[in-house]
Amino acid sequence: MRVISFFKSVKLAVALILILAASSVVGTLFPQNMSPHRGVEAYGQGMYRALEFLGIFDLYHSGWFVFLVLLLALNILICSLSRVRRTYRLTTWKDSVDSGGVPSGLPLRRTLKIKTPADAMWLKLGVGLARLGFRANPVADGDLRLDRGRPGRWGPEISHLGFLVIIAGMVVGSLTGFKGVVDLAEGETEGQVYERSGRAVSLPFEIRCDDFEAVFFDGSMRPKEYTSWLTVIEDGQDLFQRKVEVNSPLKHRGYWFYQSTYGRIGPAPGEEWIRLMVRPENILMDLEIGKKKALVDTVDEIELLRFEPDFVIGENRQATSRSEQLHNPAAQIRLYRDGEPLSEQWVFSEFPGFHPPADETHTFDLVDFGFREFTGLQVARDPGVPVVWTGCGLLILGLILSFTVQHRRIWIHVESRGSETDLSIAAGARGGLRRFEESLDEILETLGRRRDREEGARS
Amino acid sequence: MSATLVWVSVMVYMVATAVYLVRVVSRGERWGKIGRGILIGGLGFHTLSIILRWIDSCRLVAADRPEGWLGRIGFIMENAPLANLYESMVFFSWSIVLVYLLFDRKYGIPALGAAVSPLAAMVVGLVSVLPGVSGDLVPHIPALQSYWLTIHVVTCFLAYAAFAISFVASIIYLSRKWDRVKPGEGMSRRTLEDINYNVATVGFLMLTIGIVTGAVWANYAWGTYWSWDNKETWSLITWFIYASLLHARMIASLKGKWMAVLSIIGFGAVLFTFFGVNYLLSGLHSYL
Repeated sequence: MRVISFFKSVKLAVALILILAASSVVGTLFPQNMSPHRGVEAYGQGMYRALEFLGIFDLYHSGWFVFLVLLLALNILICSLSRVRRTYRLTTWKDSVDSGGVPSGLPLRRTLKIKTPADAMWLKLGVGLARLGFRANPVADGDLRLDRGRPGRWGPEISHLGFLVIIAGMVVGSLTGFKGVVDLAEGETEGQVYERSGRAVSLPFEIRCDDFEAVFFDGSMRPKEYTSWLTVIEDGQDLFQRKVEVNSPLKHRGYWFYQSTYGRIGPAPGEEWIRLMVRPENILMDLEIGKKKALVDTVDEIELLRFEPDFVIGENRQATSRSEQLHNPAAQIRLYRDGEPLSEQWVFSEFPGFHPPADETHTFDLVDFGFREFTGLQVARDPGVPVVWTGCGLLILGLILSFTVQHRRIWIHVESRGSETDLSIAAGARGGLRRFEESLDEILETLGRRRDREEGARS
Repeated sequence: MSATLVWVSVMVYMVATAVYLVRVVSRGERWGKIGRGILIGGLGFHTLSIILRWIDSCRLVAADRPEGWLGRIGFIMENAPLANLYESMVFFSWSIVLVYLLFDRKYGIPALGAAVSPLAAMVVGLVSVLPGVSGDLVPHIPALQSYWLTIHVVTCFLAYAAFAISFVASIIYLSRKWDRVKPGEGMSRRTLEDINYNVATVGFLMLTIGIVTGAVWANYAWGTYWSWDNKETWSLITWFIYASLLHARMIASLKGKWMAVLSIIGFGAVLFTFFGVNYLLSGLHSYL
């Protein structure tokens, strides 16, 4: 019981909320998810270890932060459960045994003698209050209970439920969801994506990038829009194609694909081509892989042997590519004289004039080459998202009800004295009663009353 | 034209400030009404300036205007002038005046006018002081090309404006030493506490909607509804502070004075969410 009364306290809620706020501030002062290498560099070995132990570098997912959030959730749950019963009774007039009469201790109270018979008075009062939206609940002869705005009383319960549902949705998401990225070159098909940790995750379908396009604002590198055309493939069959832009993702089987980045990589195997500037003639020449072409003004021939987008000298002093990115594009070309290989050389886009002339008369600059655009997609699957949206909806609905709909209750007790009537009326509400007081007095004014005694609003 | 009108409205707000100050000194209710009239006039210029800029902003990318009325509405929504610091400051100032006038209509709070009008003028004035704030019209980058931009930013700024008014009420609350005031001596602490609470509830509802619409948009644009980006986190911190303020009213020992203190801290968090995060921290909201 003591535990429950501890968790029932609003003070605990306020304390937890402020502690969570302060902790969140700490999280914005330290870089989150930084690499250990950079962390040690910035804070020193010992300090980094200590902060790491406290979970400072992934604060919002650290054990203690999650614990605080769950503690707040428990607090809210217990507060709400203990309130639900009370709210139910308040909205159904079951909060006390009603023995007739008007209870004391309410913020608004009027006692008057009226010079009309009870029946006529009831009619006027009833119509007036009905116009204000009050619903009547008769108790006994001469007693009436009216109220309006019941949903307002449920507002806090609904918004607290919404908050709990949001947290539940976040828990579902973190337990069952996943986030990853995949880079797709034009024409490429992939069935796996990669988590931030580098772990590959297989999709239950495949995805192909048919085309990619980046459009820039006139005369600048400021991107206007970038668009991928993606096709979803299941069991080897093309299912459908969809255009994916920033702010317009592709959704399939709970997986969402978002346009995130873009870039260029080397061409597909067998589709390499280059454009050479042949000097001293200054003539441009296009070469496709595996096709010999006559070199200008000579009987010699030239051929593109291979193209490497990110040229490095690898193990065994072999030329290779470090990646598919166009970091150091290089092409190997071979010259033929009388059909026999004469010489070979590498030409580099980044380092023109790196090699001596191959046939002692000509030099070649690599000025252009075939490439593919790739689209960088973010992939997410989060079954908790609909739960979170439900919670957000409840939270907002609850707040609107709490702040705009006021639950007001009226107790009326009438004693008939022939042609005169004694009327006692009292009202209570969640929040203030100032405006209602004015409306009530307007109604009472029409009853043809004789004012005897009046108590002002205490709220 | 639009920029000139903004400065005209700033001048008008300064005049309104002077009139409201006369009201405070002379205790003449007449001055409060004049101040309100001037403030409404200033809001008129301000509104016109925002509309003109909105039209310019749409014209800038008129070539991409889609067909159909639904597409047109989306296009207009997308190009609302709310996409950089200059535009958002101008809108923030506008929201403060609008929200103040609405609350003034409901609760009758001319006493706050002497503080709210210069605050509105100051927010626009900051535009010319802060580094890197440019009034140039530039087309929106892809991440901002969404009608969610307008919904998200408008709700957030209406919340910030309400919090600004709650802040002003709290400052006055803490400077009042007496609980009951004689007629003509201004508002009682009781009234100020009610105003603080009522205005904060409206701000809290708006901030909640602002954060939720931001999450919906983030889910569309970034693939996750919440990424603990610095701006998101600070908006949540602000939300926490006002949540505690609303609950503090139920605790006798925190009612009144501590609510005012929380409102002041909360507005500090609002300002940090808006300026501090941009100037001191990094994050996904780099464009604003």
